Amino acid sequence: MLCRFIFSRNHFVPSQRRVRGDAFLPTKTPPRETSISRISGLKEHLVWRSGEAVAQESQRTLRARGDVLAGTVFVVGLEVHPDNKPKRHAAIVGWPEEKDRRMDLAQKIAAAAELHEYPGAL
Amino acid sequence: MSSFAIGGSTLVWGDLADVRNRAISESPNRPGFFIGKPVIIADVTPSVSVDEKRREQLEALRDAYEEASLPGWDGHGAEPVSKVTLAQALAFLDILPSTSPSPGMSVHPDGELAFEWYVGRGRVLSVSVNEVGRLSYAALFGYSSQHGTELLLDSLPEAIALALRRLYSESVALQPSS
Repeated sequence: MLCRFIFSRNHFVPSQRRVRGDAFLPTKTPPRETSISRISGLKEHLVWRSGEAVAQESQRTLRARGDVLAGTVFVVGLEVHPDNKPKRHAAIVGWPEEKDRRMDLAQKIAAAAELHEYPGAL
Repeated sequence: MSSFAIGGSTLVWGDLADVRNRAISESPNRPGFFIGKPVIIADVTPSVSVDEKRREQLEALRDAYEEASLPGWDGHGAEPVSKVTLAQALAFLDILPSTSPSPGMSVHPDGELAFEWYVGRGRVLSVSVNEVGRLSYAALFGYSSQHGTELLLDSLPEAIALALRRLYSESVALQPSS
């Protein structure tokens, strides 16, 4: 299981219990990648602690996360590259050059993702 | 009066016309054929003719813009939204038919402003606009999808209009009959 920590209010819709595709889009500049964490086997509070660490480093407010199976990423033709910097960190890579194709893939990932709203400091 | 903070200052509705004017003159690599909609001050001046729906759309756009106005706003190194992109987004809102449902609004990590119509899980249309008025769109219709690129001109591109129509017509068709 992979998770994308979300710091933008507009990247998820609580009333619809969903993550927007926007949340999974990669960085603008090459190498285009989407930063994620591998959370299989990790207890819930430790997942959030990991997100809190990202929030602290980026000085942003942690709001939610989108969980998605690694298989979903592979099915749409992208790859997951673990780098363990920090521990359990990985990146979704292999994004196409064209913006509309990236949006298409991000939407498909988001459609299979599960939203978890940040419950606050645990 | 509703206001709109840009670059540390507070703008009122009328100032949005100025943002749009500047965008048209400052936009990099702007194709000569892109004009968007002519700037008409009355469009953005508060009056009883500005309906509630449009006001809500502008407020949603303002919220999205404000949240993403600084580098790294998404916690993952995202680009900020520029005033030029904001102006293009305003022009896109202008060409939406008044009968179309209001889109959700957000910002992409590359600084493009995005509009989203969602009717159910796996049934969504997203359109993003960049500084030069390029519209990128992607739609999911259950098991099929569609995506492409268009230019922001003076009316909603046919491909996007068709995708929007398909999204809502299929969602109605899928409703269980009573």
